[in-house]
Amino acid sequence: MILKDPAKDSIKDPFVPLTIPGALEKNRNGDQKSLLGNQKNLLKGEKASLKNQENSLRMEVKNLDAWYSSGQVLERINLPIFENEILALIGPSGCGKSTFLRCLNRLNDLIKSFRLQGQIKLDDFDIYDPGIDLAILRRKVGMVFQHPNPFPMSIFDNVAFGVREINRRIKRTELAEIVEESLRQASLWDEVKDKLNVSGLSLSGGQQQRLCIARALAVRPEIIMLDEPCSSLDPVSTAHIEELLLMLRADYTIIIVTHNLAQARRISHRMAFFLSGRLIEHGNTAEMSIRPQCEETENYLCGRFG
Amino acid sequence: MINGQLIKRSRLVALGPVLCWLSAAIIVAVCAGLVLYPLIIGAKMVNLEFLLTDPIPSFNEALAGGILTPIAGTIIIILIATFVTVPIALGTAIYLSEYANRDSVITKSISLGVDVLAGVPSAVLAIFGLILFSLPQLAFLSSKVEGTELALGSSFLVGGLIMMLHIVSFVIKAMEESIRSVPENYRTAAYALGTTRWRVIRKAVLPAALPGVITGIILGIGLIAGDTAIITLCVGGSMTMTGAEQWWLPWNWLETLQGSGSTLTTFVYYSSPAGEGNAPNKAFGAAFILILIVLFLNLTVDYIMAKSKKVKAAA
Repeated sequence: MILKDPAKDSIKDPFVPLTIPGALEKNRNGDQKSLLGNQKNLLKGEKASLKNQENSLRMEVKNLDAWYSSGQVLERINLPIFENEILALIGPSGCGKSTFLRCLNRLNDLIKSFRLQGQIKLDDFDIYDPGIDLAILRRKVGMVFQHPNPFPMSIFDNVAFGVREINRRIKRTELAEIVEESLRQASLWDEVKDKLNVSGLSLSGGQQQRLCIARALAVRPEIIMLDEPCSSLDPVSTAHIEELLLMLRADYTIIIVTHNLAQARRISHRMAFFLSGRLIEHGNTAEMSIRPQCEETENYLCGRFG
Repeated sequence: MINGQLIKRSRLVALGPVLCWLSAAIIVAVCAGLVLYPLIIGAKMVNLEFLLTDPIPSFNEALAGGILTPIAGTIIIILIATFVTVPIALGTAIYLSEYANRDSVITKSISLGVDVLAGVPSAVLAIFGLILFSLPQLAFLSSKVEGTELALGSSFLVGGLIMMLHIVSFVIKAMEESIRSVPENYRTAAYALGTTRWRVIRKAVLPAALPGVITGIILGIGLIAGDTAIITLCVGGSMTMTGAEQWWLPWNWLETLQGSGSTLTTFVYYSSPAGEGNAPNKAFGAAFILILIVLFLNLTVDYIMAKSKKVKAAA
């Protein structure tokens, strides 16, 4: 049921210009090393080389089908994801948005009955290729969950968790720098700089969620996925996080699942509308809000169901 | 009509609640008596000299000495048994809760084994241990008996190892329970940061399960401190250390561990009229110290639980 040709998107969408073949090629080579094992690359330097290739294709989902033991949950999904965009996945509960998100970093692999068919490409790699290092994939494709879930340890250790896994012998000063930078990026630093040794669980819900964002940022991901990050937060905290995402957009590709249509309109460049496991429509947020191509989309956007 | 129904039919108090209250009162009274009686009599006995002299087997209570070696014996047994139990129990608990497929034959047989072990009375474990460690090949754990083929089969080392069997199933269950109760979202969060399975367990799951794991160990230590049968049979029937005379010197430690001795529980037994001694007041003194140790362990558990609950509530 995909009524829009994904290939056309990049032309229509003012935010996403045509991909430059040469640039993508370079990008691919750069990633080849790091995805298949060169972990040090992930910590520094790599970002800079990608800066000048904004808006190129980062991930591509082709003919994705997925099943749980209860039956098929995703059907024929085709979706491109571009560099430095905020892509909002919208749709009613149980439509497969979260499952789709968890396919992108293979977190569904933890569920035994899960089965998947189709292809998901990150740059030039099929991420379901048996040779893919899951740890490195998940560092590149970071994730923030619906409910804030900091570890029961200090704020510092929470942010340092993933970094220590990448480099167990990292110097304390270097680690402290990364922690500070990540907390600043998550605009939490000023609130917690005097109590880094306090348990992460002592923070408020909104602060905890920003802590989780900082924790995800600390491993220097390239793509950040957020699964309804504001659903358990108050409006002030939500505004904080939206502001933060708009800032992070400059350096990262962001995919956000949201129930909140207004939020999707406020922050996203592109939207993808899911319904009962199918991707009904995707495209530029402004265009899609004004002139949805599908009746279902229009009904959903107008609040006739969901 | 309605007015009539609203008025209580009878002012008689129902019997049920009274019986319930009475049962509870009996338990409380017995507990208080059990704790207070030895505490009061025992507390009178306890002084520095009592704590710091060796026991002297004697029918004259005044000459019967103190409880230095039983205290040391209790500590030695606790250390040995904890040292061997913790790694085995933790490994098993991690395997059962994180790796094992609950429906596989292997998992079921491990769980069955743990359950069976939990049900074996400690006297049975003790006699098993005595026979096993009497094998001449295992004489290095105790000592050789002159003139026979067999080893003595009772020493601190043997007692500690058998004590492991006594508490291991209990400790495994406590640890497994606490590892299972770690919220799934800690695991998912750690995986999402690019952590491998073993590191997820080690760095995210175990720290979160730590209060429960420590509680299991401490309750296990309480079991060790309280057991008598294993000490009587596997550590031996001597009030004093039978190893080197100056057992506290580091170079005599191995000999001490290979030798027999007593703990607070067996001291209570030997000093009582039921045993070979006739020093009931000294027995109460030792019981007093034992109760203090167990109470202290339980309070520590309470403290840890309260603290971890606070953390969970904050989450």
